[in-house]
Amino acid sequence: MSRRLLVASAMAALLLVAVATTLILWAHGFKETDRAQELGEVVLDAVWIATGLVAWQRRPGNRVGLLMMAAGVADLVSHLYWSAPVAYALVSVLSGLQIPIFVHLFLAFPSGRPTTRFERRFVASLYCAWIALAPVALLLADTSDDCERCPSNPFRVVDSDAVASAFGTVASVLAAGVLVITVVLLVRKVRRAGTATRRAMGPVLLAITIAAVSLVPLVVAESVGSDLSDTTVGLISFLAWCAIPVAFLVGVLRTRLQRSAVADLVVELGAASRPDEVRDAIARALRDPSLELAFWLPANERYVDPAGRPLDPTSDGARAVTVLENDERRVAALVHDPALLDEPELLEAVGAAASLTLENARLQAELSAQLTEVRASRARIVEAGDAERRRLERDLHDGAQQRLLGVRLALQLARGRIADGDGSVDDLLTEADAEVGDALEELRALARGIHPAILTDEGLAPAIAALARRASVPIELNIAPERLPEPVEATAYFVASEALANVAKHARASRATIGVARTNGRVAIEVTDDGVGGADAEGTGLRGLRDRVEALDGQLEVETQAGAGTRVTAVIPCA
Amino acid sequence: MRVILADDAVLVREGIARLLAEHGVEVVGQADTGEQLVELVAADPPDVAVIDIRMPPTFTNEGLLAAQAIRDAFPRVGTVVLSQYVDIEYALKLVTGTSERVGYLLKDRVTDLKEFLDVLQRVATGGTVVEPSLVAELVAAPAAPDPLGELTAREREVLVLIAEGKTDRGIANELFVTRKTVEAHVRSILRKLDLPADAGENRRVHAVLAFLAANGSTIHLGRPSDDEDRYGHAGHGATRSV
Repeated sequence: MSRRLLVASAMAALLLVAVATTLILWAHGFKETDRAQELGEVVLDAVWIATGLVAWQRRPGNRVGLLMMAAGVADLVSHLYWSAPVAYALVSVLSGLQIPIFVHLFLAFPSGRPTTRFERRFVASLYCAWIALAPVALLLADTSDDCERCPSNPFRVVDSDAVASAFGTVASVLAAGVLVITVVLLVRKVRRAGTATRRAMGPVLLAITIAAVSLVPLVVAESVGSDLSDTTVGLISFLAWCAIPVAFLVGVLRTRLQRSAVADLVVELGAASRPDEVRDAIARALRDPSLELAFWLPANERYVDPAGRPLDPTSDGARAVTVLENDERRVAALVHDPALLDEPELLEAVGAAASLTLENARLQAELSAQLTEVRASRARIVEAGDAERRRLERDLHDGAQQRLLGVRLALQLARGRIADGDGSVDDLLTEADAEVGDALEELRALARGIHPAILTDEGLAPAIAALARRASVPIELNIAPERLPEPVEATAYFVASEALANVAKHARASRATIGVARTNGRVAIEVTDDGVGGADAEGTGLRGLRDRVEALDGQLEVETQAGAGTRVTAVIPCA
Repeated sequence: MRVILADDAVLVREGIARLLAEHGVEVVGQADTGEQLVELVAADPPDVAVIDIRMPPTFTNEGLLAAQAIRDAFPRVGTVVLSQYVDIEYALKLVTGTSERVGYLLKDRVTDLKEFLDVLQRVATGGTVVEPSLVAELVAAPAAPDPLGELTAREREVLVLIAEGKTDRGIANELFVTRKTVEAHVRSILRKLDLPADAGENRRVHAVLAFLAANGSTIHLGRPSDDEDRYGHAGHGATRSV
């Protein structure tokens, strides 16, 4: 809004007030009302216009300021006392515009727009009704009835008192209906108001209550025939009515304070990096501690909470859902107090302020959801691999090994049967038996490498002890004799096995140690040697070990220095 | 001699049964599982039960458990446990307590019929037999410090034979020396290795096996809290052997 427009509006309003005042002072005579009271009404209208101007200037985006000005102007128009018949008739019709404007103002306060679709339709239909009825009123109304010296309506075409009074009755009934509906809507609005709306409406409700109460002594006095309007009581009541537009202004400025919460949010979001911090910042900005933030994962077509768990945001009476978008792509949804729907601008501003950070946080939430899945699948792959190794070992044991043994037995039987016969056949059988024996030996070594039976049967300590006995150098063992979960035992065994294989191949060590200890929910496996060091931590063997250990969420470390030996440490979580 | 066989591998079990039958051993029963074996033994106790260590339902150490159950309920029945893999843990479990009438062999041994018959005979008459390749592995394992270093070459030979469950007379025959010489060697070995000298021929098998198992590699089986402390200082050489 330009400064020029504001000044022009102010000047126009001032002019209107001056005209109204002049008319009351000089041309009011034909109407027998209290001049002081009329002037008071003009002052009240001027207050509405002035406060509306301030509200408009301070919150240009909010229509409340304009509506306040419009309300003041509409009321002021009804106090323009021209005795000229045409002007008088037009003024009396125009003053009917007050009804839609005031209803609009109340329903649009404090956000600037009526909240629900019904409210918006209601307000629109009031304007339409006025547009439709005003010409009818102009053609039917009998203005000379208003007062003794009031001019008659020059536009009047149907000169029938019956029609005029019927129209008057219809208009009154309509006005009463509008009043009832408006009160119901306002009560509902107050009851459903969110914290922010309540903050804004508080001063207005208070001012209206005080103004209404201040009328009571005046009405009571009037009923017994005395007029207190020129006394202090009347002055107080007048000031109380003037306080109402001021209260509207305060309410609008309070929502402006709310806006500064959006500014705070922008600052906070700059510091928030984790998805849950983003949620907390938005909850503070919207003053809704129960706010839930749901991130949209386009790949999975579902929402997840900041921790990556699936969430299904649904809108019911108790919770409302607002979907936030960035560049027309769905980013997140807020599940919040329905009262916040009264402040669509606030929700929109918060959504806009948070959209970039939300996009960021959404990617993080998506990533952590994927990471969780990848971790689980990696652990499953390792476990499946172990199960496969066990199955292979068992297949060898029950299949090839037993069959070869059966062959050896058959060869023995054959040798027994031809004991007295040909010596060369016996030699052949002996040779065949030796071959089968060698094959069995090789199969045994192979099966042990695939998965040692003693690991499954007896656990880690005996399995590693057996490994150590076949090692190339003396090994000092330091292993607690407890059983661990199968995947942990298998991984620890392969760490020890691979590390010992490296000791034998590269370390030129004179001795080595293997330690396995379980502390604080973790199992640590440490293999050290006193060899030449310089192990390649990224070689295929150690790389494979690292993958195995990390698949169980563990860590593998290789410390190796030329001439100072090698230390391989694996730490695996083990509840 | 009356024998019961237990092995879920039918091919092998039938093969052993036929070989034994052809050499005058009476195979009075065959079982698929440890449970079935124990029932057969209870119904008609044989001289020896020959048992495969891996059988249904878990295919781990059912044979070992069945052997222990038989030994507890029928001390006069000998048990020979066969396995595709031999390990000291199983050997110690088998010979713990009364190491009489037990055998623990690699399954391949059944194909050397003469020796297998000898094993059955020894177990049936109260002896103990432990797989020679296992004993060889234990004796050959690198150890620091090598507690066997003090033994003479002859004493090491005798030690291996003790561990295999040979009697003094058996050792004397094997080494072509007198029984008195063997007894002298045995006393010297037990003294040098700090083992109880008064153990009988069978109990000393367990003592020697346990000694070899514990010294082949230095094992500390401490409480977890001890381990934590030791482990925490491992970087400064606390667990280095001396």
